[in-house]
Amino acid sequence: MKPKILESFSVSVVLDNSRVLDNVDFFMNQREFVGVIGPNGAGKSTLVRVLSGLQKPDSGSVQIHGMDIISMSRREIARELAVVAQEESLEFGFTVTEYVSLGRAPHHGGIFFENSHDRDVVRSALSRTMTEPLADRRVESLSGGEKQRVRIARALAQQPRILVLDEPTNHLDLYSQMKLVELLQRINDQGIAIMMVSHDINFMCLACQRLKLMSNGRIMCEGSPEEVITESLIAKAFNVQVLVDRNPVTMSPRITPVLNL
Amino acid sequence: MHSTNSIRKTILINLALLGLLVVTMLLSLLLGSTHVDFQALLNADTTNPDFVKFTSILLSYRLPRLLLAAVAGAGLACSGVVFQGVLRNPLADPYIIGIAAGGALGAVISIAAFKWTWLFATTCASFAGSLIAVLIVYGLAFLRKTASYMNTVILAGIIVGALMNALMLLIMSVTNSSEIQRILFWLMGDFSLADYQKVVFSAPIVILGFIFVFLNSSRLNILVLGEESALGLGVDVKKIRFLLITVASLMTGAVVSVSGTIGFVGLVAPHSMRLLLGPDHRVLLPASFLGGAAFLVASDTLARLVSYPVELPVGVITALSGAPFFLYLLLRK
Repeated sequence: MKPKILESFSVSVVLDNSRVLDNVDFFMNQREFVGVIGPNGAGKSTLVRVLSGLQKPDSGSVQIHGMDIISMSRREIARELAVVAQEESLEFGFTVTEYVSLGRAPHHGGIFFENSHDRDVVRSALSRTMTEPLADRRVESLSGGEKQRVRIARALAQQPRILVLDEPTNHLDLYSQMKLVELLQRINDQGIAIMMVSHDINFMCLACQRLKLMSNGRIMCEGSPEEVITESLIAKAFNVQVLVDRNPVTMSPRITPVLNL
Repeated sequence: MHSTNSIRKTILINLALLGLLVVTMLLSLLLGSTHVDFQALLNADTTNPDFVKFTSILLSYRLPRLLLAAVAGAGLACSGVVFQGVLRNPLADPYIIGIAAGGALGAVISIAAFKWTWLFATTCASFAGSLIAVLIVYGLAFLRKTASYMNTVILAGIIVGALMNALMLLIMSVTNSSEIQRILFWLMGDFSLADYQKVVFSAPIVILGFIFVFLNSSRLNILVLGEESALGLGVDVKKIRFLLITVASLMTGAVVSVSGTIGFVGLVAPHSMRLLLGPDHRVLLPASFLGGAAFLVASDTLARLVSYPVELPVGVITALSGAPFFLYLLLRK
């Protein structure tokens, strides 16, 4: 069988006596755009941390392209997989170009000065995320949406095959969210597999080809957005009654929470 | 920085700072309470008593003193940059994790015990004291595994520092006045007892330490982003952080042991360089190394000259110039 680009085998994580991840088998194929949805505390962020090697699972294993993540060095992992974390301090005075250039670190040893190849990669990462006009601005002076695009540019500078995003829509306004969907789909079309985690169901239905629904540390079900976003499954996972209909433009599923007043 | 010329920028800026350092050192060599007659020096007439006197002032008094000030300034500024970067705290200085208190306690014990008989004992005891302080801090951080490592290091450092300060005060309270005078000078930072032995002891530690942290300056840039992001960019955070703090602590301990606890250099030099040159550690580390050296040589020269024949402790000069600078930093934003 052809190895998946990212796969976990019955991964469990126990934190303070509660099972945050409970025997999770996750997989995604090359070039796929996978979303993981679920309520707060379902274990989504822990899954991101385990899949990207930031946290060791208490049991089970993770493979990137058939290679066990334990046998890989930090730098090897960083060349395959780039993470756009939920929160990151950006108050350090770097310009956008300097910040994005840090993404080249996994391709170098200790101290490095960017060579012409690095500069080409950084330039292309800026242009793919449409952040070239910001190149000389300080990162902390940018708006929320701009910061998110710059973070993604830094991840692209790592030249990964997998991009992992944890709650990328946090603090983004509607315009920035739509820009983000466009950007991620373009990146995905260029051949990078994307795994994204969010509790924003409508956003995820717009962006992802395949969804996994998480609840209480388990993957409850997975499939196309049409298969996963049903009134009964969402009610079970999120403990909220919803109506499901279609987005009139994209025809992707859309939920409306029902208030029991 | 446009990354297109980051190497050139690093080299140019640091050549300029090297020039500044050389000029400062020359001035420090030539300025002093005894007027040195250059004509006599240049004639190099070994039978001329003036020539003998001048060379002796320059070589056995001013030169080791300015070399020691340069080593101390470079070491404190450089380790200040490392502590601020690794602890991600702009107010961190080389003394934050109790190194200075450990070094001071060691020095005070040796001054009280050896009196004036063996000066280098103070250096050895102080260095040992700072190493013990760092070991205790690491031990505490190791025992308290689950909590945030960096916060534990800072908290443990403050506690160890307070404890050692208390022990030091205890010893001082039972020491007689002539030793107290020397202890006070030591605590304020002092180069008047500089000799080549101290230079030979501290310079290799400071220079090797600088080379090590400079070779890790790209990793230091990444550590500033925070633990998760640094891991995601392929940096082995725990290992690199441990190595950087250890090396910076050794540098600080070596400097404290030969010069006492000179304040503000580890804050002022790194922050001035940050303001001028930005946050890139590949530029910042060598620039702080050279700038810190120049700053402390200049401060010590002033300390010798300002109120001749009374010599001020150099720590007074660095604090008097450093405190207003910090107010400026505070009010600027």
